[in-house]
Amino acid sequence: MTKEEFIEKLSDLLDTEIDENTSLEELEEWDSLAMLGLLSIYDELQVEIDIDEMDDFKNVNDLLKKANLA
Amino acid sequence: MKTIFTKGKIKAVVTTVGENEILIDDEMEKFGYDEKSLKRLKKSAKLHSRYIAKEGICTSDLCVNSAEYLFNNYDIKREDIDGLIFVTQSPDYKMPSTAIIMQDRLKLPITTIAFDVNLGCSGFVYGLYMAHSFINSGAKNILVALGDVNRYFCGEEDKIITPLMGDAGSVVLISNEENKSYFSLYSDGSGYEHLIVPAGGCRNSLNENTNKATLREDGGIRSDENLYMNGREIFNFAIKRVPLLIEEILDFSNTDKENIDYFLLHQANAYILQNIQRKLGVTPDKVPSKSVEIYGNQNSASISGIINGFLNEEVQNQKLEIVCAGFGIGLSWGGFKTTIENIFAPKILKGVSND
Repeated sequence: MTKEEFIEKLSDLLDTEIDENTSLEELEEWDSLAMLGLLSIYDELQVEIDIDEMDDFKNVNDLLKKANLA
Repeated sequence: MKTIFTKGKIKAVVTTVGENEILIDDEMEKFGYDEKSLKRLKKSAKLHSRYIAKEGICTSDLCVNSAEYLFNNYDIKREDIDGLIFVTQSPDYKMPSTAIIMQDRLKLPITTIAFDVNLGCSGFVYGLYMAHSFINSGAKNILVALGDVNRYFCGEEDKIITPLMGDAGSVVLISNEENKSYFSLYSDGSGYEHLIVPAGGCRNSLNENTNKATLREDGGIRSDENLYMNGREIFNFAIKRVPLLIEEILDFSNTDKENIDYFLLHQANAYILQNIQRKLGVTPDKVPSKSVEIYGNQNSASISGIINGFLNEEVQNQKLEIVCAGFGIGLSWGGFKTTIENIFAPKILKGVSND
C-alpha cells in the first residue's frame, strides 16, 4: 500500500477529505468507529499496534509513520 | 482445553428472533446520529436492521418457541431428552435456573438434567461442548437452548452498543451418534472489565444510583446496570485470538482449511468478521457475515442464527465440514470442528407463536 492509497482509504473511512497534515484532534470524524477502521487497515498492512497507541496519534502523518509510509 | 469427542451429532437447529424489525435509519433520532454518522455506520459497520422481542418476552420464551417447533416438526420425542442446557445472560429470574422452569414448560421428563450457563458470545461453543460431554457419558439426546433478549442489560439510549444487538433464542439438538468433533476452549479473566454489566452482582449491589443513566466518556448513555463495552479492546482481542484458535483447531483435527465448507463465527460486527476472514486467508463466502447486518448481534444464538437465517438449504441437504468459533464477554472464546449432515434447520422464526 502506498502513502496515497493509505490516505485514500482513511479518507473513505472517515467520509471526509484529509491529507497528511490533517489534525486528528480537530477532526470530528476521529471517533471509535474510525479507530476500529484504522485497526483494520493496520491489520491489513500487518502492522502490530497496541490500541493504547491510538490515543497518542495527533495527525495523519503520525498514522503514516506507524504504517511505515511517511 | 482441547478435547476430541467421538460421539455427538448436531441433528437439529431452530432459531426464533424477536418479531419487531427495526431499521438503523429509524433509530437516527433515538441515538442522536446525524446524516453523516449514520452513513458511516451503514457503510463501515454495515448496520442495517435488527430484530427485537416485544415488551414482556423473555429469552426463555424465544427458546421455548424454537423447542416447540422442533418437537412438532421433527422426529424427536420429549421423553427422549436427557438434558436441557440454557446458555443465557438474560434468565427469567435471578434464581432458580430458567432451564428448570423450561423443563416443565416443555413437558420434558423430570429425569432431565437442566441448568443455566452464564455465558455470552462464546456460549454456543461452550453449550455444545457440555452437550457432547453428556453424550459421551451415555446421554441419548441433549437440547442446548441459547440466546438473549438484550433490553434486560443494554441501555435503551446507548448508541455505542444497543444498535448492534438483536434478540434471539435457539435450540440445538445433539444426539448420541458416532461423529468426531474437535473442541478447543479458552478463558482470560484479565479482560473482564472490557465487556461488563458493573452493577447487580455481589461485588456491586443494586442501589438508588446504579440505575441512573448518564452520558459516559465514550458517548454512550447508560447506567451501571447496563452493558459496557470497550470496543477497541474487544476488537483487538477478537482479531488476535480467533484466527489463532481456528488455526489450532484445523491443526488439531488434521484438516486443511480448503476442506472446510463454512467457518461459522460469532456475528460480532462486520469489521471483526472481515478481519478474521482475511487473516484466515479464505474467501468471504466461507465466512457468512450477513446475519449481523440483518438480525443484529445475537450473542450465544448468533452461530445458530446464521444456520437458520442463511444456510438452512445447505445444512438440510448436504454433508458439510464446519468450524464454529465464539468469542466475547469473560473474556471467553472457543471453537470446534465437526461434520454435519442433513440436519433439521427451518428458516428463522419471527416472534413467538400463540398456538
